[in-house]
This record gives sequence, structure tokens and C-alpha cells, in this order.
Amino acid sequence: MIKNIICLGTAFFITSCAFNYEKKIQILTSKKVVDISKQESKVCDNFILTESEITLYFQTAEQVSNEEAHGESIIMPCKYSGELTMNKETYSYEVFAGGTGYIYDDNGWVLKNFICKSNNCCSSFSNLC
Amino acid sequence: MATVTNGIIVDKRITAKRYNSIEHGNINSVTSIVLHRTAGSSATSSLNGYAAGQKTGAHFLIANDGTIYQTASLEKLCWHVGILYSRCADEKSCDPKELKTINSLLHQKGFSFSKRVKNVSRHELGKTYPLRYPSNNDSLGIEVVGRFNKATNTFERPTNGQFKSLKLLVDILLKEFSLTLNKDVYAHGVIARKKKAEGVQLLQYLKIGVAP
Repeated sequence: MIKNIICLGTAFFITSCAFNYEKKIQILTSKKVVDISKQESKVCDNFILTESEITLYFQTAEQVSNEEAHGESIIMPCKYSGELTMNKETYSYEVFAGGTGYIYDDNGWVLKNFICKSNNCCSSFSNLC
Repeated sequence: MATVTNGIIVDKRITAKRYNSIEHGNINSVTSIVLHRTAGSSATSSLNGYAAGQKTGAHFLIANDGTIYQTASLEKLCWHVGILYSRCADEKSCDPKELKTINSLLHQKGFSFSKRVKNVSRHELGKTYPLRYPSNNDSLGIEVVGRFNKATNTFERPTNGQFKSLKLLVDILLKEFSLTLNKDVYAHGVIARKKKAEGVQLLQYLKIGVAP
């Protein structure tokens, strides 16, 4: 009986954790965008993400609330921007140097917020966090 | 007529709803005001975050209907600013030695983006205001409910009620701390590493009296 409860609890915990990440994402397009209005934009020279790394980003970065993203995000003057499919629907996205990312709906409103904040996430990329 | 008692504004137009989770010790002095947007769609979602123990937050929150909540004491420090830009680098007023220091911190090899910008921010905190931008230690934060929109690359237009309440609140704070609108009130996106547009519409409204 106790064993069953522990197993059910563990399964529930693993499933709950999995909901904080996006598994079924496919990147359709990606383009590096640098805000050259900032004098420091040269800092972005070595910010490079491949499409498979952007997919990995959405699989490993933690999905957070609007409020947490607002408080914890670091927005650098460079990002990768483009379109992706998630659950067969197309959305636009942004991933900023520093580790913050967003998925937007058709009207441009934020649908999901992501932050790469754990060592496990940051260490998956050569130059994201 | 608003009065301040123990860090709380006593005024029938302002609702005190204080959250210990966002107060982090005593504030040194108040030199400035920083204007924020919540990125959420309602005051309730922000207040629920505070109630759940969220550590970041500001002293005030203005809801969509214009209701002003005071969420932290004016005597307490809130974590609302984040990672500061270098003010002299932005304004192209650094002396050559200082600019070299900032650039070396920003481009330091072997460190992550976040580590490098945190080092720049820490370096800035060694300066006194107004040589640097406002920090958590010396500024009050006002959150105005509103979401970011990628299509327009800005935050949703504040409601007329929000604009009106913001002006009322900022006027009280400017008077209370002897600050000036043109020098001591900032849009968050201009001073810290957040979305560039954050707070810009609010500051524009306060300065020119017209809603963008």
C-alpha cells in the first residue's frame, strides 16, 4: 500500500515537472537580431544559437509565470527570433542572450515565458546564459 | 491631502496592501522613482505572486481600473530594479579610464553574459546617484499592470484610469521626497536590462501630459 502511494506520488511529481518544459517544439525559422542602438552591441558578436540549440532551449529552460519572468529576466541587446510549431500550431518566439525566452500568440501577446536558470540548462549551451 | 505615517501613504485614493515577501530591509534614502509594467494582465496575478512569497516587486501597483495599491513601506527596500546599465556609457560621459573599466567587465573572457552584466551593475553601485542610474537602495518602484506585445514592440496602452492614478501618485512622491519629475523619474527599460519599452509610455505621459 505504502509502496503504491510512493510510486503514484513519484509518477505525479515527474509528470508535474515535465509540464514546466516544452517537449513538442519544432523550430521553423530563426534569425539573429542585434539592437545596434546600444553602444555595447559588440558584446553580442559571440552569441550564436543553432536551430537545434533553440529547440533544446525550449526543452530545458524553465517555464515561469509572467511575474517571475518580469522580475528575474535579463534582456541583452541580442536575440534569436523566428517561428516554431508547438502542438501542431505555429507561434513566434524570441530567445535573448542572458537566457530569457518567450513564445507569442498570433496577436503578439506573450503565451509562455522561459528562463534558463539552472546549471543544467545553462551548461547545455556554450554561450547563452 | 496625503500624509505619510510609518512609511504608508494615508490617502483615501491609495489602498495599503503590504507584503513582507517583497520588503528587504531599510531603504537608505529615496532619490528617485522607477516606472514599471507588470507584464501580466491583472493586478490580482501580481498580488497573488507577492502573497505566494515572490521576492521581487515594487512599492506600488496600479490596477487596470486605476486602483492604487501600496504594496511595500516607503521605508523599505524592494528588489525592483535588477541589473543596471552603466549610466555614463549610455550617456557617453565616462572618462576614458572608466569606460575602459566598464568595457573590460562587459567583455571579460570566460564569463557568462549574466555574470558580466552583473559585474558591470555591481561596479555601478559603487557610484553615487545621479552618477549612476537609480538602484534598489535608493529608489521607489511603481508597477502599472500591462502586458508586452511583440507585434507593436511595446506594452499595452495604460488605461486612462492608470494614467490618472500614476500622475496622482507620482505628484505625492515628488513632493514627499523633494524630487523633480525631469531628473528623478525613470522608465525601467531605460536604466536596467529589461524590455526597452518598459515604463516609457508612462514617463512620456507624465512629462508631456499626453497619453501615447
